[in-house]
Amino acid sequence: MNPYYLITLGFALASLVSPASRKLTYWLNVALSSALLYFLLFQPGSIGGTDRYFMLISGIVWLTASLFSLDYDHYPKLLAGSFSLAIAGMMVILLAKDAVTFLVGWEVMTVASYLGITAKEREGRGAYSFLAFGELSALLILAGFGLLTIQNGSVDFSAWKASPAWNVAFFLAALGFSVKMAIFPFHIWLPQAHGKAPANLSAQLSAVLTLMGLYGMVRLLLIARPADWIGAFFLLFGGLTAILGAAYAAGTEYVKRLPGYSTVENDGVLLALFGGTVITLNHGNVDLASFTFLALLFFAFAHSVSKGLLFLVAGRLENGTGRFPEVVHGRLSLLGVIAGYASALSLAGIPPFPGFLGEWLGIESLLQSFKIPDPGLKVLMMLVGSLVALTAGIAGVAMSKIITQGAQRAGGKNGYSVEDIGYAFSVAVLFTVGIVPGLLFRLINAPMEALTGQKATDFLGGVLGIKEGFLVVAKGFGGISPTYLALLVFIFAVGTYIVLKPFTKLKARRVRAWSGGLTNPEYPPIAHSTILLVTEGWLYGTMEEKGRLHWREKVSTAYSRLADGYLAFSEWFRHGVMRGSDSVYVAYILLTLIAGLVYLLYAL
Amino acid sequence: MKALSAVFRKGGKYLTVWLDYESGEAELEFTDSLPGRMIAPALIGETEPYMRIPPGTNAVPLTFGPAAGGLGQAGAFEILTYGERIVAIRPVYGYKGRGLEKMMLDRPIGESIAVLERAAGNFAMAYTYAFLKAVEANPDEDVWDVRKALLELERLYNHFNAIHKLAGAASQKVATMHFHALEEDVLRVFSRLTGHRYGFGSNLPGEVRILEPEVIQRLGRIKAEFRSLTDELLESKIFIDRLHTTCRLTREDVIELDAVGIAARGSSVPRDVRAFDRFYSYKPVTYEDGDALARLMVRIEEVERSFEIIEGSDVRSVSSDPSLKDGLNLGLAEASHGDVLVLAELENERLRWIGLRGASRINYIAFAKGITGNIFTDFPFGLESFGLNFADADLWQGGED
Amino acid sequence: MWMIKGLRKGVITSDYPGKVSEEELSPSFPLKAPEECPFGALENGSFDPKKCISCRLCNAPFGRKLDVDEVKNPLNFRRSLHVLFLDVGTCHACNREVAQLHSPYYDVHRLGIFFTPTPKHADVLLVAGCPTDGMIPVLKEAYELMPEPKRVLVLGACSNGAFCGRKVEDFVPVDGYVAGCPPNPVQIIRGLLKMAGRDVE
Repeated sequence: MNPYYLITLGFALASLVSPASRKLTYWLNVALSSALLYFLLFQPGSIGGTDRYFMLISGIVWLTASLFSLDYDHYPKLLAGSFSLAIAGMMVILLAKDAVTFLVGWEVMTVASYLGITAKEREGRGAYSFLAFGELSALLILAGFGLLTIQNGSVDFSAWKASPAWNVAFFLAALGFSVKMAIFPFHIWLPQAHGKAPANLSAQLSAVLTLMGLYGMVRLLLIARPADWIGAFFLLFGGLTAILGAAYAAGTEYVKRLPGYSTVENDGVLLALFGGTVITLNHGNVDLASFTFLALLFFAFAHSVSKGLLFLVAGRLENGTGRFPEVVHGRLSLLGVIAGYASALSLAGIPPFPGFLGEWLGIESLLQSFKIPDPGLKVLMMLVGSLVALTAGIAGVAMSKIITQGAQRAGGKNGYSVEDIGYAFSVAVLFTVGIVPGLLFRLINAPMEALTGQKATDFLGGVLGIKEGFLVVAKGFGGISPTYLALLVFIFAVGTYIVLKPFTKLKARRVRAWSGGLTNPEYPPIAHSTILLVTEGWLYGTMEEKGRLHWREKVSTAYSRLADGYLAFSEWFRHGVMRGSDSVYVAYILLTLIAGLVYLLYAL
Repeated sequence: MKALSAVFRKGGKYLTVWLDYESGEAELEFTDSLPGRMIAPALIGETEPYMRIPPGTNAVPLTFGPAAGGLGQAGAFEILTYGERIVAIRPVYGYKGRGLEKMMLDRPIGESIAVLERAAGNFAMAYTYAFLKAVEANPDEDVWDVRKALLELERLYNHFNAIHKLAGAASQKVATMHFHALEEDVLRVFSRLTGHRYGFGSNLPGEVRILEPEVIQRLGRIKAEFRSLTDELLESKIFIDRLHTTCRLTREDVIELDAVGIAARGSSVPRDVRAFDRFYSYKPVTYEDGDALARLMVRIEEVERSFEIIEGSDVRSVSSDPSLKDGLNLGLAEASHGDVLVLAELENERLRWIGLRGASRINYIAFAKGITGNIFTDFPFGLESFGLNFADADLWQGGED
Repeated sequence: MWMIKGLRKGVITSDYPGKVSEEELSPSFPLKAPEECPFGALENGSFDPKKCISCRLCNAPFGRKLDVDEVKNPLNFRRSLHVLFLDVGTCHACNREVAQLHSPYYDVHRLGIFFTPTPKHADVLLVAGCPTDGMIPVLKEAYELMPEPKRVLVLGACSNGAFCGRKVEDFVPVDGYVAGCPPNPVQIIRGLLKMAGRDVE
């Protein structure tokens, strides 16, 4: 029996156990995730290369989140069950060979997550918008898949091939997937939902749920290429999403919304890279297409693992109303603080973490757009590349905020617990892949061969003093070696310390910080973002009233107005048209009768 | 119109001084409670009422000072901010309370003057001018003519220092050094003229001591240099732009806060005690805009006027009748930043009670009003355009309460 | 245009520590011990120049004096000295004199003296002013935050107890004094150079 099917079944059964014991559910999840990782790495069996890669990323996040949940979950039992069921749904998506199973998995995942979000949020608005946009995405995917099924006469993915309606169907389905990935302007649900959900579920939602969107798009891309305009669309909107996500992440006052907006930003970059892959494939530039695809997959790994970890840490930082000034001391052990630093630094694109290489690969691929013959697309891709670079800078502001106002302040917990094992595991994964990315490249070989026939390991080389296999090369453009960079940092920083420590005779004396002679409170957390909020007030809609600085996202305001407008219309319809009096209904019947008679007269 | 000029405590009551800047009439009043003007708490040294923390604010109060490199003196500002903007601010007085006023009491008057000069070193000439105005029984025209020249000379180096600081804040590195050198030139003139770089020891009751009167000729070169430097500096659009609309005080603000000196004159309120000083024939310089640029222009114009006044004086050592008048007397002098007020009570030619009010005590509050709503980078422009210092702000009174 | 102005002005920087000109010193220091001093600079018949405020109310002959400093415990940081200036209650004249050290006339950077706004980078704490209640904790905090080796140089008559009866010495250990009210910039430079361990006349 295929071990993966067993594992899926195991997750589903674990969710049924939850009414009895939450801890048992989570321990089962831990065991199953570990088993999954074992099989993926050492006995992959007959699973496809792409599926294997995506499942690996998911497995790492699931393991960390389950270990975290053991101590974290003090919520209604619904949460544990929905956590597990959502994982089961995602496994179904990853293993699906036909459209119907895929959609079943998709719905299970969405509904289970919705139930999980309601476990914490009583009024349900964030959960409801999650469900609403989730169903919108499901509808679009259904439309796309439906069209393809009709065209090819079968629901099996293997039976689908390129056809006249491929572009339209691809676009519909991909749009559905990208709504799940929070493309602009369908992104407002993500920070709200992920901000309000319990942290273990948020980690899963941001890291893996959005990954499923990417998985769907990659799956379709592996079947056949779509037209250029689809690539351009995702390039443009991906870039916009990225910059908006980064800007709002840097400006937000809520601890859990910062990683939420960061997910919007990273998914925007992924969408832009997806668009880039499509365009480069269409113009026959195989090297560049493979490189862009490598960037896409590697970035997805870096994002998912770090974001999952960051959400877990943010869950511990959250206190009271969830704003930054309320972060208290003593919530995170030393490992927790390290986990906070590692995940935030990776998302900011700092070596020696995988985010650094992911960012480099992404920008490097988009800025090689000069190799595309079409002038319009060339310029578009380059502009989006610069936008992504700007995004990386602003993400640095956001990540430094969550480090200095969050992880740094919440340390000081004595003793370790089970969640620290999860932190240690994820941090180890981040360091390993960040320092020796070649290990991951081997796993990317399979999906890349399916797309372009090239291997990811083709992009590893060596030059001058760098040993073969440790230099990541963009063929004919540039190269970077995270391994040697990490080595350099280690030698200079740690080495200097080790060499000097036994030789220094000077004693160190600890003193306070100098603050004009007195003690001052620290700069308020909002000050971290004020430089952006005040100078780019047009982007945030910043308001400074009565000594209070606050902002609200304009798209959010637009949606609220839309919703209010619809409710007003609904009220009018209810009271104005559907009155409760019999005479009005009789009038309506008469009107319908007359209309029907008039139609018959005309038709005959 | 009358402005509240000073509040002291004497005989268990509040002694308030109201000054009418048009007629020059001062009115002393003993009251039981503080007058209702907005500046009253600052005049007795309390600045907490000026910091209004709006409810529901997400700003945090920080203290800038008292050993801050940017201020360079022992004084502090409490600033409420959420990042870039100053939401509310107040100066913190008290770090320079040395008890000098008590040291002036019950001593030969020459020693009291020596202590008074060292109350606010760079305004020493102004304080002694005001003090001697209050206590001299038979003021002699020639002596006061020289005293006037020394006061204007002090105004010169203080204005040069203010322009130097403004240029320095705008990173006009060359301009700031030129003006700093000009200030040193004037201090050297003082040194040769009176034997002390700040003019300490030159003024005594009934006499003024000048060592080398011919040194005054140097001012001709200093004036030419000042004109050429100012022309060059005002051509820099970047510099002007940093001062324009920075730290704006409206006319209403000035009147509400009873602001004095440069703060008032930069907002078109002509408050200058030289207008009704009998040794001067002077018409106040005013500018309209009320921002740092207007205050700079007021200073530049006043430098020109000071040069004229000094050139019109005959600077030399003069002696006259040193007798003093007993009783409670008021003296006013226009220092470079605003008017200083001295209320002296003498008995048998010795001080029994002294009340001092420096212009900084009032104008720091005006600065706080003007800088609210500006961003941090404009702070030094606002502050240096007023030319104040905390030593002068912490002076109050000595003698029985 | 600034370049032309600068070239026309020429070099105006003082030649000190080579030689000192009359312009740079003011003739207000007593050349001989006075017989009486209303401000307590005479104790048991011996004149303490550190407490002289140059009021010139005594009947001593006055003149220009450069060596008004006394440095007990110099450092060996000859060409690079970092100074923190701390005002604990001056009349602002000392502040202006210290500021003049950066003007083109004196330019202490050519001598390797640098001013820093934080005690953590400072070698010498240059204290001026009569210690007030509010500033005493600040003085102690600044002294404590300075890393070894550190020195304290006291500037002016106020900080030596001429006025308010309080001396900086009562609160932190002091390694050098510069007398004057306020000391001229070259006198301050001389004190700093001696504190840096350089030979100056």
